[in-house]
Amino acid sequence: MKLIWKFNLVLLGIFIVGFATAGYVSYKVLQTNAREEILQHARLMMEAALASRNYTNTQIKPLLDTQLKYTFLPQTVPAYAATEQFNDIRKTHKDYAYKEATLNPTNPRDRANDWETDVVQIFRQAPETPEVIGERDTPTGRSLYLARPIQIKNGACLVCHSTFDAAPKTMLDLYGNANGFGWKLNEIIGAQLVSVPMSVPVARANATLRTFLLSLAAVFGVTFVLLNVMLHTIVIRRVTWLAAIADQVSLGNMDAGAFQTRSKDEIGVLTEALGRMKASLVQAMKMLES
Amino acid sequence: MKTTSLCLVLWLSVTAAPGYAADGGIFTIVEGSARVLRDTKWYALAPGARFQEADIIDAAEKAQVQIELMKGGTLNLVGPATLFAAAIPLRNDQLTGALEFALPRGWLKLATKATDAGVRVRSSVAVLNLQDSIVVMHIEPNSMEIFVESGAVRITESGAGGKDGAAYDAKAGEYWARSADRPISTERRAPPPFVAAMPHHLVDPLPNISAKYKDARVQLVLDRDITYAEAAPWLNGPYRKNFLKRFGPKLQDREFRGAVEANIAHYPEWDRVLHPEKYLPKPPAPAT
Repeated sequence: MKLIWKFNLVLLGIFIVGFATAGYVSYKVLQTNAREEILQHARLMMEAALASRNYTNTQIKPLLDTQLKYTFLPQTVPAYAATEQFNDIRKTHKDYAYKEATLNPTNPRDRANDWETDVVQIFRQAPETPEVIGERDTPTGRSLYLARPIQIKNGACLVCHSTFDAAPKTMLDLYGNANGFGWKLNEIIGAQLVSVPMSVPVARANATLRTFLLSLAAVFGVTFVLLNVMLHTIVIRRVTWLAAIADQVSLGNMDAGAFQTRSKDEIGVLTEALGRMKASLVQAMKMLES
Repeated sequence: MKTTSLCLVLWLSVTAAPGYAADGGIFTIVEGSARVLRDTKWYALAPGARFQEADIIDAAEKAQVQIELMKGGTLNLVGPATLFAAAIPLRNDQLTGALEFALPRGWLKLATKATDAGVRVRSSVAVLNLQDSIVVMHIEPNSMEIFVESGAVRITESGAGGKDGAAYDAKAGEYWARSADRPISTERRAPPPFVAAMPHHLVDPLPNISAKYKDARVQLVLDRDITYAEAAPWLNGPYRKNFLKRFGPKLQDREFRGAVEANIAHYPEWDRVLHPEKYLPKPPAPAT
């Protein structure tokens, strides 16, 4: 097999291993970064929801305390405020979602569905769990969810959620007396759930990976070609020329050509050595003839 | 006729001495068409004007009048409504008795403070006694609805002949209703029709803005004199004696006197003044 083929085989092998390793490592890094980015979005949304709840509780509800004696205003309920604010965001970002999924809610829209119930049960069985992160498939693609428990820590909550006899009559007018009662202090009654679509950051990561790998392949390709050109120009052509002259000298044709070069590299040294060897051979043959 | 005029002048000089009423509060909100009757004259109301004992406030449809009392709390009246300040017993800036108002009709939110004597509101079907409480009431000539926002209210039904009827203690969060054709009833929250009919701003706490008018001296603009048609309900109500004395000077007005004369059977007190000859002692019968 010719030198250049051996060289190219080894080079190709090295390129393939390097390409595969670089591709795998960059894929992992990009996917991890994408997931981190998604999780950061989710955490930010969760904090925004908590801020909305806090604002409603500390600033809005006190202003409406008098009105509440006449009509129940769901706008004074922190959970309602956070959910409604998010529903406004969903008008332009349909794949994002926030829900205060509850096992026994006052407002039926907050009732936990199957997978949400599973999440709530995780918190109920391990109350010390601060949050749960998971992924699920949705009709619009893969989605990451971040969940935190809703625990009744304030006895004031039980004014509306202990028994329907104790609840404000105005609240019963709106929601009836069948749902949202029987809650107990320190009970985990639901979970705050933020859902963030994974498609965009993952697609971006895949696009970045694709660009990177294509660039790497292009660089490898150009390097491959340049190395072949250099090998041919610097080594193979000169060695072939040296071999041709040496071959003629070996057949007795001392006028085949001179082993001359200005290069000081290894081929140049070989050329000079062959030149000296030819000169020695010519002198030796002259001595034999005389 | 000369005798009648002389009697009238004498009677007026005794009974119609101008009274001085101390400021009982400030009109801090006046929106829409509202006027106040002071003595026998109507004046257009303006924010910053002073509220006095014996004032009668008349608020047109959807008009809003808020009075912040010097002592005792804040009232917010929404028309069509009429309110009479029957008693504001202030002496040396202290209340010496209960404040008393008459509300023949209208929406009223009353936020009272803790005073020694409390506040009394009289309507055609009941008398309400309040102290340190907030209530919203809707009064019509033969009906009453009240919602106790906070505190407690004693409701005394008006019995036959002006006597007190049954009394009830209404607590915070309770709604009470009474009409001429239905007995008194109560619910544990304000019913939706009541809330829907209520002027919306009454669901909020009443603002306290009297400081804005503390140093203001607003002159009321005179409108006109009271007519007989406007005076008649007061002359025939529970404060009859006060109003006979108050509207007495109007007998000098020909139109007013003519209307009184047409209904003289209702005003025996004025009959004596207008027709003293009817009440002169009869000469003894000649001896036979």
